Amino acid sequence: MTGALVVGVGNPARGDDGVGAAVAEAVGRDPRFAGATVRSVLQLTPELAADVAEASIVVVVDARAGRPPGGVEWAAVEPRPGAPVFSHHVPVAALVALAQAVYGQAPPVYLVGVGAAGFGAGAPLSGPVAAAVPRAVEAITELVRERPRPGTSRGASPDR
Amino acid sequence: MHGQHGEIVIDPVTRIEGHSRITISLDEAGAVAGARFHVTQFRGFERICVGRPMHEMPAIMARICGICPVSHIVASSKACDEIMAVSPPPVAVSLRRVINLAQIVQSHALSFFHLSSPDLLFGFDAEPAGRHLFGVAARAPELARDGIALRRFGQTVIEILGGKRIHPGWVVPGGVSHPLQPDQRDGILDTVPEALAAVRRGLAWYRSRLAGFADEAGAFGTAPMLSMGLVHENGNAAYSDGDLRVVDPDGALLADRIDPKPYWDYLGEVAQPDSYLKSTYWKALGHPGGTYRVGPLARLNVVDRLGSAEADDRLGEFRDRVGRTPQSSFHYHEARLIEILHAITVIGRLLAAPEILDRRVQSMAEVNRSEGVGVSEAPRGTLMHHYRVDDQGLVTWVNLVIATGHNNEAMNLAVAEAAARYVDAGHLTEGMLNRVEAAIRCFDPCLSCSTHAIGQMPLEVELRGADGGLLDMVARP
Repeated sequence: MTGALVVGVGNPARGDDGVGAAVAEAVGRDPRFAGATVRSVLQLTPELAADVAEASIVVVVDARAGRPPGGVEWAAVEPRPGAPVFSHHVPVAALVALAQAVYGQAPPVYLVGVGAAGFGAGAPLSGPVAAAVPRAVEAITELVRERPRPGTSRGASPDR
Repeated sequence: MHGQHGEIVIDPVTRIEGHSRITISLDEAGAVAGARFHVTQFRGFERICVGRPMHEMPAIMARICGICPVSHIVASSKACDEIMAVSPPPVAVSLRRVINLAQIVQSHALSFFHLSSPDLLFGFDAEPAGRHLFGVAARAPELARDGIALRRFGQTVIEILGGKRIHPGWVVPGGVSHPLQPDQRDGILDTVPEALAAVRRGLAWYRSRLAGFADEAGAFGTAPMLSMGLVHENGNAAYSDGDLRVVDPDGALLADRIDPKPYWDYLGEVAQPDSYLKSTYWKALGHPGGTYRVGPLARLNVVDRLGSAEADDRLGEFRDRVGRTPQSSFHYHEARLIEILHAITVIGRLLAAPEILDRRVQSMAEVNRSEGVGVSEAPRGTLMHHYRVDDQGLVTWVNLVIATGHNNEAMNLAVAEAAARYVDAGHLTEGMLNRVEAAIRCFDPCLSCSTHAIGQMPLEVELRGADGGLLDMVARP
């Protein structure tokens, strides 16, 4: 999976918000992802556009509020130029658009969402979310291998 | 924008770090009578830390800010060095310098390329809908690329040294937790030429735009005041160590080679009724006569030279053009770029020295003093951490004097000057209010640090009449 970029998003100190980091850690240990770049970040920031532009495929993993806890869903991300960009945070769709605008290219990008039960300070991952980590890794593996066409999704479309 | 009876409110102020509001007051005739910058967020890190073990302080203090956590870690660790009564090994001093300079590179790049370059590229009167990073990416992709490259350089250095980009735990009381590996050093050194090329292009681009902003450069906070910063014994710029130097608007020395630790001897502090951000002043001149600036422009004003050849050449050109101690806050932008050039150069120099791989990186000790002060230069200016501990090393009292607090009075004067110059209460335009905000952005204030507050960084501007009533307000998310 050389050239793939997997980005786990979220704060491990805030309960299920840490699922992005947990999935990134699991991917980093998985021999199937040898050669892939794995990152864990608190939030997406503009400079990640460079990493996105250099990758052959990008999968961003994040917790989702308001979804069934432990549910894993994914969607292909369409670039959305002009979306609000802050120094601390950039939506995935804006990050893809930024990579295209600045570097003239962006690979297929997918967002994997894991339904979260709670975001309590200092809390560990909830049971259903911890159990979902291997399923999220399998979803990423499938996405990197099959590269579904733009506009496709499984489950509700994560809209970050 | 909202308001009534002679007052303009800009709320929130945009493209700065934190949350704030600007109030512009009008006189009976409807002309601008004054303006104030209010910081409306509150946190309380000085209280949170009480009762925590001293060794935890750098890690806790890093959480004050997601932009400049390294600066807080460095100042905090230096305060702990004092409490332990130890000096870090020489290589640890150098490694702390490297990570602190990397912090300055990435923070200055954020300020200039991401937050301020849209104004300089499109002009202050351009439609706000396109005056942002995306607009820069579309109009001048090389400028956006260079900004991203410099942010990435600084963050990558921090990540390599500290293990992660935000809130790294590598700088610790007594030094750093582990030595630098040869492959890590080589990986950073490989990226230095590209980073230098990026900042050279950025500086050339800025200078090519400067002629178009002569009016703003003459109205964005030009009040004469003192400059304060750390310098080495030889007069070169210091960022992680050094003594304090203070110069007046003409460059005359008011204080030199003074130990920055007993800051209470020479800095006064006043609370403002309309802001969570306190103002500091140089005690010898009282308040407000002792108002001073810190940060990139003030550092260039206090140093004899930076201490790296190319950056000193750029500094010489800067001084030839704007004077030895320029007083317009607009010049913070260029000062930031010159400091980036210097910081990358020094990072390369420090890492090229063979002793940087020395394995002895931490002095070990327990509590040997009940009090410690750590002082360093953060991207936005001089940063002071002051702790007291009990015999078990538990923190009993904390005081933080933050760069944006040093600059508070200067920012208020800058807002008032820009409002008086540009705001016509009878015909408010986006460009007028953007200039008032931009006067603040010159200082790159970090309100999360200075008030220790939770929150984003939007801004509000209020327009208030002679009777204090709210006339109008702009608010941006």
